[in-house]
Amino acid sequence: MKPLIVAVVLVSLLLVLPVPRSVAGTAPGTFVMAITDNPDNLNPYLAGLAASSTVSRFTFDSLYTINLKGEWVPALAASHAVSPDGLAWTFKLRPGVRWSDGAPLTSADVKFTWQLATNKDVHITYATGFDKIASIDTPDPLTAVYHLKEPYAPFRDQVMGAALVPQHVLGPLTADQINRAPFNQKPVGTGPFSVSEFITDDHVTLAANPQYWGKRPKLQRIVVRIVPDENAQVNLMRAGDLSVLSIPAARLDEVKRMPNITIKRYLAPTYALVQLDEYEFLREAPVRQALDYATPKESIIRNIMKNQAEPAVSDLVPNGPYANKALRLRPYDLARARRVLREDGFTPGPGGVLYKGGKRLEVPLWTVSGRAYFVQAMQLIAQSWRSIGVYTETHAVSAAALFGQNGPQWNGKDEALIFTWGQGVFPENKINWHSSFIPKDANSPGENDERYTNPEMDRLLEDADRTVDETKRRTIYNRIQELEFRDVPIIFLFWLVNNNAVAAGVQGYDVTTFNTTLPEEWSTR
Amino acid sequence: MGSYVARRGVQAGVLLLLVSLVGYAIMSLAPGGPLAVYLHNPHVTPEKIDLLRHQLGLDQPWYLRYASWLKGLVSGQWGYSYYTGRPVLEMVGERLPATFTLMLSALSLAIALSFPLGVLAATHKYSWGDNLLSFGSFFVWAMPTFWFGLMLQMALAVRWHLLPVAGMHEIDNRSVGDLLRHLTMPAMVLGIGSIASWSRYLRSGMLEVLGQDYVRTAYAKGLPAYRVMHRHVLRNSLIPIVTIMGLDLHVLFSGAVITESIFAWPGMGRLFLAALNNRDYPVQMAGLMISATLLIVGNLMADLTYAALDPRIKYQ
Repeated sequence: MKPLIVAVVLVSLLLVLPVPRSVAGTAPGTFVMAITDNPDNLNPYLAGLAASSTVSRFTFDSLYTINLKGEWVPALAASHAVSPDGLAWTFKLRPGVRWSDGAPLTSADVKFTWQLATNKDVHITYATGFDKIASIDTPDPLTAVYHLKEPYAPFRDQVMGAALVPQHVLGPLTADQINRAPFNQKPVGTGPFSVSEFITDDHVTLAANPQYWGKRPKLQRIVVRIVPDENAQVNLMRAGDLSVLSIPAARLDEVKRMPNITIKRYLAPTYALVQLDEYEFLREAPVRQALDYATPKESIIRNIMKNQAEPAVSDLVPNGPYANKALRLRPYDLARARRVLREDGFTPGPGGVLYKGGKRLEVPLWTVSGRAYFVQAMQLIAQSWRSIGVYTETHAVSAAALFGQNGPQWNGKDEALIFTWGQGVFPENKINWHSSFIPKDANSPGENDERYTNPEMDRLLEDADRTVDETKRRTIYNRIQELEFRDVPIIFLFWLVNNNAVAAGVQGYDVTTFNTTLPEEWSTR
Repeated sequence: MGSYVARRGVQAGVLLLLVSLVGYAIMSLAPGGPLAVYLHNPHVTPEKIDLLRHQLGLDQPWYLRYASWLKGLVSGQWGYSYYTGRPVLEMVGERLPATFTLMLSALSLAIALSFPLGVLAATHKYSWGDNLLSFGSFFVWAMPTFWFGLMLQMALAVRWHLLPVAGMHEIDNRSVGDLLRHLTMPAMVLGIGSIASWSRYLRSGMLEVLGQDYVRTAYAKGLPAYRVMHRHVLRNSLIPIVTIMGLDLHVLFSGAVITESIFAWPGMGRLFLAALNNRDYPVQMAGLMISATLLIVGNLMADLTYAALDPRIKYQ
């Protein structure tokens, strides 16, 4: 018995005593990061998963790129000019740029990128904006002129900011060959790094591109490890094997206490919302406004999201150039909510539930199961809505069931769905609010699933797309946001906040809502 | 015996066909679909999704799609992934080495440890060692793999820096030693469940045989204990454990998802899980077929091993 006790005591001691570090961490000149999915396709026009763009961003450039502050700066283009009628966009390419295989970048690549994105036989997943291009002129190897079918302001965000792909590699291939090309696992790009090794499900190694047109990268290589489990990623960071980690929300407090790291906190261009599907009572704006008054947003941010969220009043990032700075959140005011509903003709009936014309005000709440903070937020919202007389039942189901053809979005009545929407930093919200995007059948993803119709909003969205002048465009988006606030097509819950842990020894890395610092500036000691 | 194997082969073919049909039907009828990931992506327009749907042949009814898949399979074409566009066989093939390595290690570990433990437990019935093994086995059975894997990772890798946290090898290191270091924890996690169950089955199989008259006769003849065990008892107690091992075979191949996820081991389990999540039908079907085939083959091998172990069993 005695030896057993001694053994148990020894083992317990070993478990609690810390052991000095014997591993130095990542090698100098190597930057290690982790993603959860295997990148499906490194061709930016064929990729379906976010993990793929995390890798391909290091290998491709666009004509212009967006910097940390959200400003457009020249990248592959040295300058550009727009004709007064907004139909011709002329780009002067930067001279001396080479693809990672040595071939020079020319305007033929610009033209080919458009042809690829509009090729009906290639499995293109990203082509927004390219369909507005009528033709491209290439008067000389360093000049490309886009001729648009109509004035289209989002061209800047969608096409000018889209990756250029090499004509000399992909041009000679058929559509079928492009779908299956080795290029999709080992692309040729103009970016600061190029893929030197891609071991499926294990890691992608990107080596510094000696031909890069910009500053010489300080790093020798970037290694993107594919680690599906978040906990394993945190363990890797703790063991010193990662240079940067995207911290899972549940482990934030613990990671903050880790020695030798800095935390970079930034607003993600993704907001959480309650989508109000307008079938019966939800078609009335006062009902939606009342629900907005009765949604405890601040409590959700503080108690459920633990302040890793920021208030949202519209769908344009609050730290961006388009946000309407004059809008203020509706306060959480149950009395006001009740009054709005009373003035709209609702009267309390059995059980305190509100009735109008013999029908009760029933708004079921739905969210995606498996996401703890959504389910908790849903319960909080339901509780609050019930206290003003709304009859609501809560449901947590899988995403496929929620949005699919058998789900509440298509088969329900006045349903409220809670989920997140990664709109991004650009004002691309026509698909959310324009009446033409109301889906016509269960299989068409219209995006205006709340079925919001407002002729003024339709007109404003169409005008905004046609207005190339920035100042005028911002005025239009201010009015659009005012309508979003007044009409409450959806209830904005909050903007998500991301936290990245950066290991000591990593220099030059920073991240904001809009972008990171340039990868060629990153270094590790 | 030959005709028996041939008959089993035909049965297996029919069964696999049925499995593929039912599997394909269920996958296609499940809500969502391969395009679901795009439906919620603001950058993919409705026209794009319709075009993709047409390009991938998803606008056809499921039985027509199944027919073309089957036709392809018969001619050796396993299809292309909806996501990567790469041939399915290529995607499966590149994960085979990692999967086999992990599987064989876990299998070897399981056999190496479960047999001695099972034999010792049976021969020293109700001793403290046997009770400890029983307790250990039930503990391991009840313990979630996920928890055990993470605990092991935190203790051995993060706290004590004895082993690497995850992955198959260090970035620049392709040596066998490095591979073994990376293999240790996943093989332990994967093997420990088998050790627990196989040692129990072996123990109970042996206990049944140990009570038999011929064993008592062998002892009475004066044979040494190890001779009795090895020649008379062990061989006859293997039948239940061979059944279990045969049925477990396919799990080691494609079912080690949790272990592979925690230790970032690039195996088949992760491939099929991702395919399931993304509704990548061609890859899903490949996984289903491989898994089903292994199950059937494992079962057949177990049955054939019975005949080798027990001369009373004859197949016509």
